[in-house]
Amino acid sequence: MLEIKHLTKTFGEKRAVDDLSLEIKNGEIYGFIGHNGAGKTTTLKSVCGIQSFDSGEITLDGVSVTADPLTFKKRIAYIPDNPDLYEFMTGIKYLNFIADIFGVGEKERQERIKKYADTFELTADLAQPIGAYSHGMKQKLSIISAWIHEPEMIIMDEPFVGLDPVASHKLKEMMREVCDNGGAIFFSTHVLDVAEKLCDKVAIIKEGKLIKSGTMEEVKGDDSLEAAFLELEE
Amino acid sequence: MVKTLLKKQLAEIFKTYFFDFKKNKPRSKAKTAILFVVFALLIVFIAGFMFGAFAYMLRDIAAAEPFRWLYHAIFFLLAVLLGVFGSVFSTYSGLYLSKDNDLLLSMPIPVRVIMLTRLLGVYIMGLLYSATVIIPATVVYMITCPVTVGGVFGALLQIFNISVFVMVLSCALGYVVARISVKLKNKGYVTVIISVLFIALYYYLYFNATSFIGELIGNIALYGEKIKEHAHIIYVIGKAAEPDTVPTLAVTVAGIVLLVATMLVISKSFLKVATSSATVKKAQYKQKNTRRRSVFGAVLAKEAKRFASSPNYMLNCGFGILFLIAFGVLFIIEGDAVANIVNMFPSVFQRGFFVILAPAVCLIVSMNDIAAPSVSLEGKTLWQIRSLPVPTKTVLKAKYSFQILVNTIPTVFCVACIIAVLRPDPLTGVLLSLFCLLYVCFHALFSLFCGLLKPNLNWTNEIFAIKQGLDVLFAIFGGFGYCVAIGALWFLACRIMDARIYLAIALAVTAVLTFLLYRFINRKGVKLFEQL
Repeated sequence: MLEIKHLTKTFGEKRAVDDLSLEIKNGEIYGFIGHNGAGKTTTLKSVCGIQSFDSGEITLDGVSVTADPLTFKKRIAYIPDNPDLYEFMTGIKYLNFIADIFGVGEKERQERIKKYADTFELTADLAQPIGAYSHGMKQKLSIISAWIHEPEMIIMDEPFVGLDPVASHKLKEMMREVCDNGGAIFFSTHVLDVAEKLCDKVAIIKEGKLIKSGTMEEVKGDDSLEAAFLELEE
Repeated sequence: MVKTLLKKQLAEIFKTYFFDFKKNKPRSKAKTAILFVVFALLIVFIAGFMFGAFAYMLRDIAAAEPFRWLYHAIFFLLAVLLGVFGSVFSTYSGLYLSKDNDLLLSMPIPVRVIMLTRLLGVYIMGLLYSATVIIPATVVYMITCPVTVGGVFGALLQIFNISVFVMVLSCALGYVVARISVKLKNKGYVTVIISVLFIALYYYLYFNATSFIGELIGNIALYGEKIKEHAHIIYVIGKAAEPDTVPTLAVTVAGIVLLVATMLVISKSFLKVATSSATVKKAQYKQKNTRRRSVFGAVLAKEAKRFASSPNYMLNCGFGILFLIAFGVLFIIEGDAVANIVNMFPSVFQRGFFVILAPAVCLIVSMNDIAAPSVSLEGKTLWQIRSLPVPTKTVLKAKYSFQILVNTIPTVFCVACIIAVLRPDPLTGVLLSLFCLLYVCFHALFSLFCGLLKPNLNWTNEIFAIKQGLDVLFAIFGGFGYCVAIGALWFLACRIMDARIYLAIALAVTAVLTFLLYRFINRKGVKLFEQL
């Protein structure tokens, strides 16, 4: 279970995240929505140890991201909103690099690379340098790299941006599969229809503060998620 | 529009002078001024020592009135050669590979305006390099010959003409590289090989220039007439700087015409080249077994791949490797002559020769500052290494270890050649070897230290991180300064101590500094990297 307790992060005078608390349990797909600059990316980056924060605590099954960042990071994967990958590597070299860092065995990595690269129809392009990839291809590679060590928790920032409809559909299936196998997904999105259909729980953030969270039914009630979101934003 | 783009281009070139990326705020005017003064002093130091001395050797030509044109012509050609040499590596990437090409091309900005602002970067680089030759040459000329209004005008015009010719040649070469690279598979290596050949030619001419100049000064009238007769263009170039009306007009007009022609060719093809993707055959992926690496091995391999993927990185931060090998080979070839000279002195003075040789080898090692820009080169991909379960110490260790690995073998080769030729006593040989190898470690840590203190993660073209950052400047010239200090202090110490004792003290001091840098990187350096 991922626990975020009283997370606060300021940039100069601005409080990007203000006393935010959330719990993401195993088996849940947790959506994180809010307008641009609401603090979603800052929260996600803090959760995966990329960004330091001023106060609060983030733990995964009791392991703290600040006290024991390596153990924490070994159990998660992060997909950023903009896939700035190592463009000087080929796709396959990049995947092997990630597999090496996470200590994935030779046999397992081969199987997983084949499985996920075939899923996203990227196999034929794996020998190409990442610099020659389109945005969508980079996003696919980023997704494959996140799945390569079978993490317990996957944190994604706008994962559907740049993906074609087929790849988006496959990603949704993969997200559900992770949760069915006892993992969890925490992701931000602006596509409220997707969030409504896919998420078990959802949290809405506004100006750094969590304004509503809970199961989809609790948050949206009888309205659509879009209507509930717009109402809360006003 | 042009003003806005020029401002952006200039801001990018000199960004690190105005903005502190570590503190994420603009520098104070005083700090900016200090940085510019330090930069200017470094240029004056290089120009003064290298080309000032060279110009002084040729002052007799400047003094011989009928052949003053020859003095101007020699420095014109040398300045153009150095200017092209200095900026040719960055011209291709500076003109065509900027990351904001797509952004600017999508805006209602004429292509020629984008191209013009890119050319400004090329122009400034070429001007800086050629100024290191022409300014000391002009100063020596003004000291040697009577200063006249015409002379000053001629000197200014020559600087302008040189900068124009440097830009024309740099752009022409950059254009050729661009046209070739869209068809090449391993263009990084090809670019490096072509550049190395170019540089080898440059140094061949440079080293042979000394004997040529001796001959020239001895027979100035003969050669002057021959050049005038058979290579009249050199005569015209030289006369243009005197200045002499017709040659001055001819050279200036020729430069401007060539510049306009170059700009026309580039502006016609800029869009096509800047937006073209390689037309090489697509590499086919074949599944095969891969060897599993340790975390450190994987991060080290990443650094190696980063280095090998960029000709700019290889040429600007690893060129000393070739110099180390060349220096060793030179010792083997010219070894007997060097050994004979050294053997003429008593053994106590012979050992002193090694005190000079040790920092000389280290000076070449200082040219390889791979670790310095490695922090800045993380750029927008920094999130990657930060999100992975890799200790920051390991990330930094990979950066300085790669520089050590790359430098060790050529340094060992170079030192082995020196020892094989000069055959010092065993203790001196051991001290020389240990000092040079320890310096390899010292400079790798020092380069990373500079990279951590002065990072620039917000570049739009890697050349800004590789070549123009303060981290790189400090890493190279800091290393140079340390080597010069070790060598210079020997001349004071030689009166009171044996060369071996001096080498042992230099070794101990370097060891202490290396340890302090190592400790800094593993403590404060880790924090600095994590705060980026």
